[in-house]
Amino acid sequence: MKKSLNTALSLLTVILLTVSTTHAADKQKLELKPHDHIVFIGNTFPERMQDAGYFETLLHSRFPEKELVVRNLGWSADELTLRPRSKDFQDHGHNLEDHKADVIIACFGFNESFAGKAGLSKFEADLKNFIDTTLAAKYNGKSPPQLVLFSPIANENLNRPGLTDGKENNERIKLYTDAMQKIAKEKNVIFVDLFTPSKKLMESDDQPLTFNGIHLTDYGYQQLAPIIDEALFGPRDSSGSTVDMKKLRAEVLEKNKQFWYDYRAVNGYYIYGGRKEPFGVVNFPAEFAKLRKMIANRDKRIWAVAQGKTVPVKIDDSNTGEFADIKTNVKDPDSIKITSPEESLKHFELPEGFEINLFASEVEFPELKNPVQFAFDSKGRLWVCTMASYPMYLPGKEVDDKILILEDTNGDGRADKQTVFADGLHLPTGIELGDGGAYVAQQPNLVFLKDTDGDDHADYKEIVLHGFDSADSHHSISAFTWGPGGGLYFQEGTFHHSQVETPYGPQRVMNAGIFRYEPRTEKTSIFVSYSYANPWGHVFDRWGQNFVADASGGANYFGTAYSGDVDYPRKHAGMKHFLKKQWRPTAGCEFVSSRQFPEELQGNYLLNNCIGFHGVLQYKMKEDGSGFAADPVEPLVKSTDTNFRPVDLQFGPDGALYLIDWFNPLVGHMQHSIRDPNRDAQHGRIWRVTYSKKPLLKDPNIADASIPELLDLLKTYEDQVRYRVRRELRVRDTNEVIAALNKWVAGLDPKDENYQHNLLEALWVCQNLDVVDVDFLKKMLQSPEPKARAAATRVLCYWRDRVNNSLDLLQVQINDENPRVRLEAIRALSFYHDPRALEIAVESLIHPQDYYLEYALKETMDTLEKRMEAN
Amino acid sequence: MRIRSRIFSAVSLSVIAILLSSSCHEQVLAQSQSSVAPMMRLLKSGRVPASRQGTIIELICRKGNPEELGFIWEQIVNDKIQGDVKEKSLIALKEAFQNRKIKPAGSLADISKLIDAKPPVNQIAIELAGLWKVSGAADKLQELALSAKTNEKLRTAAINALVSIGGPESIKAMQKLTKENSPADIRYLGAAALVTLDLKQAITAGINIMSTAKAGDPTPFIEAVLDTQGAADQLAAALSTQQIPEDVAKKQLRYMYSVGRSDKALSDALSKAAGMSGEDKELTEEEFKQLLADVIAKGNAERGEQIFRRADLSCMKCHSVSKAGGEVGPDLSPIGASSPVDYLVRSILYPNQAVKEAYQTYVIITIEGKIMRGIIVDRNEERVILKDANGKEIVIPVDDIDDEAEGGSLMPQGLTKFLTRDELLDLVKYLSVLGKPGPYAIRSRPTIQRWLAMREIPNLLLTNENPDEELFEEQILRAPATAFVPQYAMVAGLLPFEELKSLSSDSKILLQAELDVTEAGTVGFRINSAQDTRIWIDSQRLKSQPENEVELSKGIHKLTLLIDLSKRNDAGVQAEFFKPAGSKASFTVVGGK
Repeated sequence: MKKSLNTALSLLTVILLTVSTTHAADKQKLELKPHDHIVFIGNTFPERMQDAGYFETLLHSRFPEKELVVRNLGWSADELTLRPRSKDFQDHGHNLEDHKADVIIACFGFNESFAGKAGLSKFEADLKNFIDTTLAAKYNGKSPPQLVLFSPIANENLNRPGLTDGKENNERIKLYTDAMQKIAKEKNVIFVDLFTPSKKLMESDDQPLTFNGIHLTDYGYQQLAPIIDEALFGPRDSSGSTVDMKKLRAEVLEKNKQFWYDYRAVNGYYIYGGRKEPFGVVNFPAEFAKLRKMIANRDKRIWAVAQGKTVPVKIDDSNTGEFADIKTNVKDPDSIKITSPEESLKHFELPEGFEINLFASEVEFPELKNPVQFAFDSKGRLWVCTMASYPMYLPGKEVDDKILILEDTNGDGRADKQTVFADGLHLPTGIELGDGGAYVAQQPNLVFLKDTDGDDHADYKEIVLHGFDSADSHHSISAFTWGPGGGLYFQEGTFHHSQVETPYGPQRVMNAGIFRYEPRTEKTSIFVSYSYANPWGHVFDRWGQNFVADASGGANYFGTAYSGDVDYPRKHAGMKHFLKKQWRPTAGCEFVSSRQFPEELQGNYLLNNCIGFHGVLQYKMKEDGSGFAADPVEPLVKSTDTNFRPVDLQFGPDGALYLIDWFNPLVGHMQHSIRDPNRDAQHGRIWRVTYSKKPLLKDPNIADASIPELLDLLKTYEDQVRYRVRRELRVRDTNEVIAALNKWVAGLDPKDENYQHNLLEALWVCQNLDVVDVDFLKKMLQSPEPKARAAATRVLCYWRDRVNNSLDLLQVQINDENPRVRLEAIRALSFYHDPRALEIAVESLIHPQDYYLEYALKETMDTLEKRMEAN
Repeated sequence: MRIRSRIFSAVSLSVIAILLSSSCHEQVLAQSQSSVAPMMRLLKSGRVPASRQGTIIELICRKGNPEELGFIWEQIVNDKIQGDVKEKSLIALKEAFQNRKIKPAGSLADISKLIDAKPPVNQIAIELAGLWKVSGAADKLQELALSAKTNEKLRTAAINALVSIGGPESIKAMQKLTKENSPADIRYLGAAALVTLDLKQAITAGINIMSTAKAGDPTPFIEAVLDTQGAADQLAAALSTQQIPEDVAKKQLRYMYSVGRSDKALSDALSKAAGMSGEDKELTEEEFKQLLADVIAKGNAERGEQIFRRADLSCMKCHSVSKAGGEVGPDLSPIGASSPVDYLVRSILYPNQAVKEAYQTYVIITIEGKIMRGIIVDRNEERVILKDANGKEIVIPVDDIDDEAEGGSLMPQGLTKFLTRDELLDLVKYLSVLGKPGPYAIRSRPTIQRWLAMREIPNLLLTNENPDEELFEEQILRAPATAFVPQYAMVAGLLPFEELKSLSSDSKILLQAELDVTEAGTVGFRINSAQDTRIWIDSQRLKSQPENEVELSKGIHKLTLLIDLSKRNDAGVQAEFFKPAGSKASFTVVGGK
């Protein structure tokens, strides 16, 4: 009784405090002058704000005559003292001086808050320093800016299994919000507490305000906008206003879109960075001069609409100047010769017994332009993303890259039906299907697109992750693939400085790496931080071991040894290649796993190569201690048509190998002007390789299969079938799947030679559904099949936060007789913060060593030592 | 040289500064408490079998403090560690010093004992004596450096060690080496060593050797000069008043360019001494356009290939074509197919404008004033590993770095000085057709592109028609790599006899090629002419005929040809392997350097 009274009292104090601080803030409202430049800086909160536009719309409608210029410089996961950018970004024209900021709205504190109590004093010092330096500057050339601090918003509890309820996050955010408030008062700058009102909204609103607990949806921003508006300017008097808010918001969003193309221009490395010479300096100045005039035109339209005037439907950009005239640097016109699909077909050479045919081309499907990655869905249809806008947006020319669904409805091995799933995209460098929709690269973002009304056209879009650098558009996130356990993997190349905000803290990597994203838990991590050039290939084998192909240098890596955890900005040390490079550059890798192909080719590693040697290289895999090695065998496909540029390859539902042909006479990203007129954007082909002496496979109907049928399909030989089945099981009801799975496991025949693999598939299904079954995991950790033990050790790594005494389990694995199991254990230990992990890792030295074991142990020890040092 | 650090943007630079500041020495010592301790416990526990102790010792040396290293050192000098593990442990101690400047606590005098040990321990011991600056070992090192019996590798190591130990005694020893009664090669080594010890004396000695020595490789001297801050300018100044022979100046200039250096004063001075025009003028837009037009209209790819192969241009030292050649720069086989002519011309004239990701170089200046230039192979908080233009890896402790900057491409600027304009046109033309359909298309036939020519053919082969198999294995197949010089076939596969003549003794040449067989089976071998040619696969003699077939097991196999050129009138040798019908064999011809 007494206790609850106390609670009530302290609650009351909080409320009173809140009220009184609101009053204090009342005294200090933001005073805007005509033509003020208002600039947002900070993390993903302001960055996402530009796509919502609600607050900005309210702002213009409140001050129509002031003709305000609003620029949003928000950047995923930015912190007060950590804002990594690609080389020479400061020369791009987006510093506060360049924007002549009169008012700065700074939104920091969320990412910093993960440092908790221990980091608070540093944050306070940083904030004071930030306020002092900001107020000492004259960004507009005349006077110091007015500074406004926004606190972070609260973390919403979405009651989603596996996803944090945000309780701990909120305790920390509250701590940091209070500190901000205290310092703002001390320094006499305007402070807006968004934590308290957003928390209240989240608790009272029936609809969720965020999609992942930390990032507001469009609806969330709509709810929060009036709160921000009132906090800054006081109650609103909208009587007599005739502004068309919908129209005004549309104008704001159009301006923001063009500003985004400027601020977050892809290919920055060629615009202002290390490769601006010799071509970028010729074409880009005029392009950005034009774009900036276009943005100014849109500011004027915003003001006009806010002032109640009408504006022409079509935006008049006739005053924005001309582009530079770019001539090709291809001096030899003979080298630019477009071959027809029929002609190109004659140039192929394949080993005896193999055939190749055209599955689709721009001739039958004119929208198949510059295809870059593809995936098969549960109905066996091929989804492909196209990139006609490559290398990048040209100011004023709307982008319209697409995702096409191609189908072979009559089984003749050629596509005969096309559906446009999505259009209006910009450089979708990667695609993977899953969770009822498609994950698509939209540099610098990862978006999730979904069709909700059954017409196979996306009508739902959410940016699920932000902050993947785009300094070089051909190094941006690509080569999407699901791991067997339900992590979505994608990778980026060098020059990039990426930072992603997650409910578990910011994740950063510079100069190349592989990302791992778990949609269910919203965990994003850097799977591999390694100095790649531009890795375009990633594949998992039957037992969950993964392999990575780096394009530019033609390097191929065994993934387990170098995918242990490192703390930013550390990178893994250079590691040996598992096969000797023959040619370069490569684009995409795959394992032969198809009964349509000859027996002796099964398990071979296939690798696309697209300059010099145009075709598919082939390697025979062999065990090499704890890792693998591979020897070259006869290439599977070779073409003498130099336009043939295979950039992705996968086995299809019929057991044939499908190849995506980017088809282009010019491919060098840096060897020609970005605007070289000979860059082709009109063609694209998909080829299909079959073995003539064996029948095609029948595609199991995965989309319509029942859960028990799906589980039985996990016994299928082909990797691509089990891959699609696991993906399909993710969208079925979790409880039903788990119930059926338990039955299926109980009914498996222990004498079946694939028994251990079948069990492993079941464990992976649990991992896909984020259902942690510790007993089952323990059983698999002790499987008689070492390959299964190794795979289970990887599962343990990703479940470590929910398995009690997981270090004890790893201590058993580290003493396993099989080197690959020990390697997985060494890798897993790098994820711990407990000093015991180091002791356990060292035990591996009792056992025989090899290259990968030694490499991984050094890497794990370095990570763990640095953590101990930091503590 | 003005250094501007442009590696990271302004914002991230401050981040790096914060991160780097946390790796000072105290913490290195403190950390070893937590990380090395469990390994020391494990090592002392006896749970790790002796044969497996190499890795654990290596790891202890990677992080351990002087006391922990002292324990390992004690084990070595007391012979508690033997064989491979001993060698591995010494290398680990060496790396501990190279990377972290940590050496074992306690007396190091016992290093002298190890200098007397058998190879390879003696070599590492000499290096350690230098790194640890064990002055007690100086006498022994001087003896080795000055003795005529010491082999080249050990002498170089001993000289380096003495340079590191320093002091008047070392300078005296090095002066002795530069005296005219020594062989020229050794004199240059002495002068190179003096560059660090006493630059003024070094330059006097160096110029003296260059003007008086009739033979010898002068490049170690210029290498030392280039590696030392300020030395290049001083040498240039000295050369303005003193003469050196034209051909020596040319050699030095070539070396300088081949390692990617073009320091103006020295380059001008050497150019003048070599009788070449000094100034590098940037082409005007008009001249550039005209050059491109002329490449297309007048350039001749066949002549261009000959130019590309010229030793004085060093193209093949770094670049390979059809998988044969150096591995420092990109393989150029497909270059014409991916790169337009203007890009190629720019890459040759202005190599620093567009550098492929993996070929960006860095220049590092150490606190001691050493200049290092190369591609970063790897870097961590402790050390940076650079790979220089010769493919040599250099380890630099981060604590030793005074300044660093992007250094452009490793591709030398100024190469065109060795070319006439017409030769440049031909060279670019050649590059522009590489990889395009036609005679310069990428070869996927297993032709032999990289040959190894034996420097001195053993008497065994010159005197016996059918040498003993075992002796053949010993003297030919197991001869050290240094007994061979690589020879690269032209793109179309022909290795011209003309280029081999200087190597032949008694008009005979011995060529070797390697085949990597990944699936055992029958492999065919075809040669353009078997006239006056003896052929072996491993130690098995084949018939002297244009085509042979042989059963090969999995693994690396060596093909040996002994050709008597005296009666051969054809242009060269061209050979390939093939898969006979029905064979299950799978193989690749070994290429590379």
